[in-house]
Amino acid sequence: MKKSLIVLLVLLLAFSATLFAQGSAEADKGYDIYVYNSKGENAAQFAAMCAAYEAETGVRVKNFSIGSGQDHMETLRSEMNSRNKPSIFSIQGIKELAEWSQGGFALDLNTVTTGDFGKMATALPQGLRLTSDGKTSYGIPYNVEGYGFIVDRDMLAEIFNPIPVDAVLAEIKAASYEEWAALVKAIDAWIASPKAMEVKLNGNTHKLAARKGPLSSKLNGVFAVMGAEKWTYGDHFINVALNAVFANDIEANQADTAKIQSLKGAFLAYAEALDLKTSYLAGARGKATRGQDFVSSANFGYDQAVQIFADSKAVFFKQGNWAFGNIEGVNKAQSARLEFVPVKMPYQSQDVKRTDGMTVAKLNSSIPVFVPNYYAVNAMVPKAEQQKAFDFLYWMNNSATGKKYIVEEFAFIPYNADPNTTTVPNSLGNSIIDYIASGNTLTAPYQGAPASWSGDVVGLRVMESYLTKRNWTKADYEAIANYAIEQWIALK
Amino acid sequence: MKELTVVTSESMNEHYFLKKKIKKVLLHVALTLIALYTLAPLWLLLVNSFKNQSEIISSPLGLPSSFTFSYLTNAAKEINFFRALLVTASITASSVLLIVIVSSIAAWIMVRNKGTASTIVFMCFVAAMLIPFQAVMYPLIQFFDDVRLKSATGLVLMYGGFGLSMSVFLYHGFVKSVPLGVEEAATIDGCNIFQMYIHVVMPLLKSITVTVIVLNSMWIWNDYLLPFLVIGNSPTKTLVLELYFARITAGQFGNPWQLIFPAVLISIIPIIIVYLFLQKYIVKGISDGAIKS
Amino acid sequence: MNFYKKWFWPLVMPSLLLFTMVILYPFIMGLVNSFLAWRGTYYFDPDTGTRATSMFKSFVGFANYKEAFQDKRFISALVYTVKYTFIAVIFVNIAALALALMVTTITKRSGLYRTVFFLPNMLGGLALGFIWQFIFQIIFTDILFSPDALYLPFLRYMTQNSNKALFALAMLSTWQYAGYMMIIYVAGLNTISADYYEAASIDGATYWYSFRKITIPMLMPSFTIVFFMTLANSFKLLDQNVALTDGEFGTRLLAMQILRTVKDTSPPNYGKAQAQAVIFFILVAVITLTQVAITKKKELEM
Repeated sequence: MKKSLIVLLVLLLAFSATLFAQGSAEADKGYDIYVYNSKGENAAQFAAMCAAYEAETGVRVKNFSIGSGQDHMETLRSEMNSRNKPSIFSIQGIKELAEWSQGGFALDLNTVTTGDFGKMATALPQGLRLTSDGKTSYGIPYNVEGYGFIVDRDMLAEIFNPIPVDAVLAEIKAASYEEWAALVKAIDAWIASPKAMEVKLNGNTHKLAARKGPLSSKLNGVFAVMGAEKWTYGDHFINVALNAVFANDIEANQADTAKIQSLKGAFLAYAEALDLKTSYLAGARGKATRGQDFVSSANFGYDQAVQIFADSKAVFFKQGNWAFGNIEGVNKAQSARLEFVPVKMPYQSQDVKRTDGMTVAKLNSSIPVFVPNYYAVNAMVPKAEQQKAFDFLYWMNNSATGKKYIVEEFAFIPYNADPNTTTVPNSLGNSIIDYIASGNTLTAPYQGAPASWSGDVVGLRVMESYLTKRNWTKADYEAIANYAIEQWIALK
Repeated sequence: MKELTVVTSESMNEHYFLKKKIKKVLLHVALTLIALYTLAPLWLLLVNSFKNQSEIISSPLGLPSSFTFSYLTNAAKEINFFRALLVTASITASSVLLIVIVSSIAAWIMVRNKGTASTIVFMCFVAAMLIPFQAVMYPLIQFFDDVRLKSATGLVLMYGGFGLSMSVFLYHGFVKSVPLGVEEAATIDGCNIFQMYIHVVMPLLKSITVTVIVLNSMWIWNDYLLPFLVIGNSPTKTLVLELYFARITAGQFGNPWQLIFPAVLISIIPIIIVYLFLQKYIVKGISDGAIKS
Repeated sequence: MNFYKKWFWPLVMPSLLLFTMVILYPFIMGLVNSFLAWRGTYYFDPDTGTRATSMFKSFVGFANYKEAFQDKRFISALVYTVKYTFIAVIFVNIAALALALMVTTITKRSGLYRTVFFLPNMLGGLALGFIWQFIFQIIFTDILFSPDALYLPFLRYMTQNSNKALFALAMLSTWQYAGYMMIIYVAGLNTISADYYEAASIDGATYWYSFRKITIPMLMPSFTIVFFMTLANSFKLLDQNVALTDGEFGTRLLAMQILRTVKDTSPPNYGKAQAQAVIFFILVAVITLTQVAITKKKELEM
């Protein structure tokens, strides 16, 4: 008996010992730097780029890409708690920045002044930096993105035949909201029965075509809208309105109650513009209207809306340049002819609270351009590893191979591109570069709003209570605007 | 008089049997309808694994227009089917083995050694069944990482720990009904504890062990959250994880039904095969477990 | 008995070790964290407004609990979970009992039916949630119950309405678990000796009378188990909730609420999430222990 007891105890001790001793030797981690990439769509290409870097420099890059869906933060935090923390990780705006800066994980790049990377960090334009107070800089931008109403040039050409399409586009971009709303209604009537009706754009009168062409015969409605995706009208659509009061996300982040309440006018404009957009919908089989079907992901989810636009069943499609790949996948020919037209809203001049010279006209002729994601360096990894991370990031953004991956494989607009000389191999990207070159850009203040305010609170409310309603009244506009303001204040 | 009574009771019997027959037929009809309803989602899974996205949405209930296996093979590739199968099987098998060994000896000794220590320990195990996973999730992961066990091995240990409560509970109830007689005889014969356990006790626990194996295998095989947090970012994933990640990367927006349907189908094929072969044991195991508890 | 006594601790040790590592220690750590300003990857020091230099500097007392109870989303998730549990327990129990009764009454093919009914239980929650989402959104809404076909508005858009989603989730759960509970009831039914029924029918009892007086009392032990399991499982439901509606349209259950709390706050308030989890645990414990106590008492009475 005693012998068995001893044997058993020894076994137990050995078992526990292996548990705690496992890997205690300072073993090679198997990599030199570890990149945590939260833009999952380019997972395969990103891995290829890391392999290319290793082939060139011999530095082993472990990379993990995950979609920006629900759980990328969970895994990232789990990694941050582990022994093998990422050397480079993604931060998607100042809300995500909060915990990484407070916890001391994000390295302030303003402290890196030497070497190539130091130069690169110092050269970052102020407007593109990741900072919540303007004095710090926590990341290198992934790319620049933008959004607006996507339109097919050939479709516009048919609708305004025989006016040259470049002229039409210029007029639309400069038009006021009233002219835009009239245009929408005119196109809607034109789809039902085409005739040479007159529209005013930018003060000038133009005529629509007398009859439809091959593309415009397929039209079912004016707008392709993804009613089921609350982030489109909860984040991006309302973000346009925020530009009337905030110059950037930092201002939004630091807004006090009075400032938030001053958003009332802009939010009313938002509601009215949303009403317009969702009253002239194109469905897959004909005209569509607000209602239960509209918010169902089976009918108006992302893929369905892309399909509707790519099938030429709608004239305008509010999305960003990131949708290029999706559209290309459905209709490659059309994807080469795309351009952005600004998202206009019925602001009154007193709704614009900015003091930097922003006007209603400028708001209605610009598109938001912003950085959606940043590469941050982990302050908690050894200095040697940080240096390797700097070299990698520098290589990615400045070497020929790195830049080729960014522009061609990821289909990104590089943040450090010169807008006057750069072109990228996709039409939407080039459209954005044009807006940057002409200075008609807005920013993304919604990234400074409280964490779940935009999509999950306002977007959700709009989806559940308004997009299911057939008719909106002025009271509904008020309700939406008041809700947005209350929730911002409550969630702060 | 006698004749009359016989005739009457015969016709009464006929009436009774006819009623009983109708009842049985109705029951069969009802059961068949319910069975079809139960299998309907699986039918959906089957037919829609041969269609492309637009066909799935336009005619989800019908037979596919053509039997192309491309969606299935694509799904198998996207979720690294065979490797994930291997990973899931080995994790499940190791965890279940661990659970069976550890909980059976613990439950057995707790029943045999009556006393306050046994009762307290037993109550602890049972109470743990009420702890929701969220309450221990984050500290658990962090602790395991601190002892360098945030890996597949650690995952097995975690499953061992989580499966303990229910398994100890099941074994405990069952062992109570196993007579001491055989063990007493073995002691007299001079068995030591290991011999006794292996040769005397374990064979008697066969049927409840089947229950324990079945119940634990089921939830471990299908588990999503724990593998996600522990080995989520490693290249070798379980079947459920592969399914989850394939869906995220393929359809960041919208639902890629033409990937989801075939992927779910092939991921449940192993389960169905095992089930069809072992269902007698599985069902018996659960009913035995129910009685003994 | 000394024989067993000697071996008690060594044989119990492995299970205690596992238990401590996986459940006890994390639970206690979680409990401790619920009183701290824990942020997932670091502790926050409310006095300095920055990262805490030690765990103890981030002590916040009951603040996390207070915040949890004042959080509208937590309370509504709680209420929603109670409503759901109520409906699901009824649905599953009735379905399981009915199936068990039917299956034990017929003689032919009962094995086949049992096999079919139990099959859904073998399949995983997340994957099935996606399939049922498809069923509710497309099959029910557009095909079976649309205005052109068998128009039943209640069964349309079930995943887009807070109240209807309760039933949608319950339907999913019933489909998945009724077979399992049915087996338990069948086992229970099989322990009732046929003699009782014979004696009762000789005395002229109808089906419902013997059901009430014989079947139900003798099924109490099975009922206890099934009730206990469905109660606890419904309260803790997560995977199906995520896959079916992801909590939209006010359909967030408690387990998902805890998981999403950290998404709703920036920096993520893990201390508050942990407090919610502890409250969750207490609720589950209280409810299930009460239920077990009540049914055990009823068992003894009968």
